[in-house]
Amino acid sequence: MPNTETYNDRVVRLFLLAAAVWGVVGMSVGVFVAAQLAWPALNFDTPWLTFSRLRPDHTFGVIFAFGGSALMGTCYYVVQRTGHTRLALPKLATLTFWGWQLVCVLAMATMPFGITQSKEYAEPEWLIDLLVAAVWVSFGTVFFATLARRRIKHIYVANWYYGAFIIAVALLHIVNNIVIPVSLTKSYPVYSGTVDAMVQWWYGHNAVAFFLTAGFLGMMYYFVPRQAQQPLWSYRFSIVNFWALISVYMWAGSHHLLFTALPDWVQSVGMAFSILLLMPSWGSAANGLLTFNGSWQRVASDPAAKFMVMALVFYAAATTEGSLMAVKTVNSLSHYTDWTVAHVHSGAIGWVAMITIGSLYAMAPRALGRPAMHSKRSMELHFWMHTAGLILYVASMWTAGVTEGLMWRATDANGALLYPFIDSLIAVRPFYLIRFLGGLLIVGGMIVMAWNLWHTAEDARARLIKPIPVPIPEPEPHQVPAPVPARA
Amino acid sequence: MAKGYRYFEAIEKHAGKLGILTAIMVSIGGLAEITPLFVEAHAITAVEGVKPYDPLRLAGKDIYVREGCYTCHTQMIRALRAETQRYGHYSISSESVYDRPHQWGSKRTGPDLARVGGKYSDEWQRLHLMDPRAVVKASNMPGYPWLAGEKIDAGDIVARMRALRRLGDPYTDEDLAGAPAALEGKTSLDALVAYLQGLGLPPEAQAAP
Amino acid sequence: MNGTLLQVAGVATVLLMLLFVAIWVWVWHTGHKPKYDRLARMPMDDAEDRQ
Ligand code: HEM
Ligand code: HEM
Repeated sequence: MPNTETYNDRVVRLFLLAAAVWGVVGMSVGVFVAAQLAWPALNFDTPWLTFSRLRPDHTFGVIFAFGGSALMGTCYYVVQRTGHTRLALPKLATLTFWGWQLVCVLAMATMPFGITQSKEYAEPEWLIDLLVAAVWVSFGTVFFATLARRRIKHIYVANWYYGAFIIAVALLHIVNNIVIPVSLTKSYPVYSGTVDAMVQWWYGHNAVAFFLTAGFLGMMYYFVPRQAQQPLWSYRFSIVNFWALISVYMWAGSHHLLFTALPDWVQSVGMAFSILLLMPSWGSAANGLLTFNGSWQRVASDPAAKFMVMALVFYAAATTEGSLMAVKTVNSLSHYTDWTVAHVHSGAIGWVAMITIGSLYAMAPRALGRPAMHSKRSMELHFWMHTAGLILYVASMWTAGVTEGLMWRATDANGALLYPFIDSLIAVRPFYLIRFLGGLLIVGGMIVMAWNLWHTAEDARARLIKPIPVPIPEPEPHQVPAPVPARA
Repeated sequence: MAKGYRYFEAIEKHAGKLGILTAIMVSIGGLAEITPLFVEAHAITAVEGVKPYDPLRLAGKDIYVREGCYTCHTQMIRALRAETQRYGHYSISSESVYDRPHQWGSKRTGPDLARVGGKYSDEWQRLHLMDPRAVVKASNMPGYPWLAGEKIDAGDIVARMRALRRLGDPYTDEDLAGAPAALEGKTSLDALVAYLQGLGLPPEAQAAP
Repeated sequence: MNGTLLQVAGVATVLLMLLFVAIWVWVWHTGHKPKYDRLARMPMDDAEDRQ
């Protein structure tokens, strides 16, 4: 049966470009705010250059603009490849691209001017929130419609994770952003005080769970076997881990509010479920790492695979650390300190950024119609810059956090506090400098990647790319039932 | 094929069912934790006498939100000895019932502010906001000098209070009517200082001018 | 929290645990290994490889 259908890689390429650009932008803002913590005069007494207004720009820029673009792009790529089908609703798919970029630009441009809800990771005001919801529903529609027209009967597990990411983020976003508008640029949430805090951290925690974890696990479950050229170590294990992850994560949000005015039982539930979370977390990390088993020589010569391996190691490390921090005695020390920031970034720069970079390097040549990335040596360089920067960042903030925690609680023989607050800041200032240097290395690496992608995209820019035909699945001996015949 | 296999396939092969099951699973945890809180929220009423923010402090709180002070300062003293020693009595739920949104924060680059009210003079607060290093040499807090030159939009405040009233904050008609006058000639700096000076004070003290 | 809510939370936790064990048993028990093995190879099986 002749098959004329081709993959829709155009929208994938657009998202690829956006991810590279937002990666550089979001992380540069990170470096700038890191510099401001070391040298506070750097706001030049200008409102929109001030740390407290730019910090949300950093978090939005890296999570939603960089991470979001990468997730949507790879999701469209993976759902086509694993379903042997062309993307459904191509116009809507393109619209999700422009819609998402509009969301990112609007959010990034309004927050420095003080237009904010002040809810962490949900700062953009209500108008932008509405736009987010519209784009998100369109994204979900394209994804599920594509799943519905797949030619492979079974839905590959990467799609389960992408699906959970889409559904959960929609739910979280809507519940957390219910507000009464006062004007175009100001609103008040319907929740207040303790309830607002709980809703906010149910959101915040699960944004980590479903945006920064489930979504990127989807990426991992496709691109790791793809790059290792080996089957997934255990498919069964991936299924068990999926259900465990999505059902346990939602319970753990209250570990962000230990020892606060939140009722005790909610705190205890959060702590217990956070420890349970170790299981699916290590399960996925092990599944990914063991997939490389038997091809470690390949990893040594493949920078994309190196990024993936390091990402999985940091995924295991950050989740272990997270579960530890959810234990009340540990949290009493770590909460409010730079230890949290160290944890965040070992998850964010280690896991999220590295799995993304590895997957982009794996996907880009294919989506751009090239046999390989333009420069392998610069990929190698990027890997080492990123890893060095990551270690500087995490090691310095970990030390700073523990220092703060210990100084805040230190007492003399009479039980009086030993240090005024400002002493702890003086003690950690050198570490802020080290973090800044680490950040410079990381952004440098992102610029190297952008340069590399630009050259790899030469054919794409000259519009020379031949679309890739969708393969017709061959019936396999044990397949029950037989594959759906290809549509012409 | 085994019988169980059929059921299993049913989930795995149908995008719709997979989606619905996923949605159910992710909802359970959230509902189980948040629903009881809503129930309890009715029980958390303001401590006797805690009034909603007066117009100047409300304007100040909105500036606190706008400037993003919560990115460096918490307003949640945990029930731990080291914290109560440094910052005072631990924070309780009823103290933040009028905070929309809450300002508990998650990172202390600077100290906790839940009970900073009355700790320093108004003059100190002004100076500190204009140029932090003029009063605390080693501070890394940015200066906010523009606040002093910024008049507060008195027209806006009534709309804000009305929105809050719709959400249940007990503002009276007189409160609304008197609001613009209370903001007459005030700057953003005045409002922010008034807000800070009211933080954590017992209700009687807050009522004082 | 009052007693009823505690009990509901307790029962819900046990049910979830059971569900989890059930999924585990289900996945390992029904013996469709060939299908899993095929699925595990899925990412390597795209158009680019066949050209
Ligand atoms: C060049 C690399 C980066 C640098 C220099 C950097 C720097 C910073 C700084 C200075 C802060 C504020 C910390 C504080 O308030 O004390 C921060 C916060 C944050 N960053 Fe980054 N960052 C980088 C990369 C990333 C990436 C790649 C992600 C996510 C994918 C990320 C996510 C976050 C988050 C979620 C927070 C908020 C943490 C919290 O509230 O505890 N960052 N970052
Ligand atoms: C088993 C998995 C994990 C657990 C149990 C966990 C637990 C925790 C805990 C206890 C905190 C500290 C809250 C506080 O004291 O303020 C925290 C903060 C955070 N974690 Fe994790 N974590 C996990 C994995 C991850 C991963 C993989 C990321 C990826 C980026 C991540 C990102 C964050 C962020 C962004 C925050 C900061 C929230 C804020 O204060 O603004 N976590 N996590």
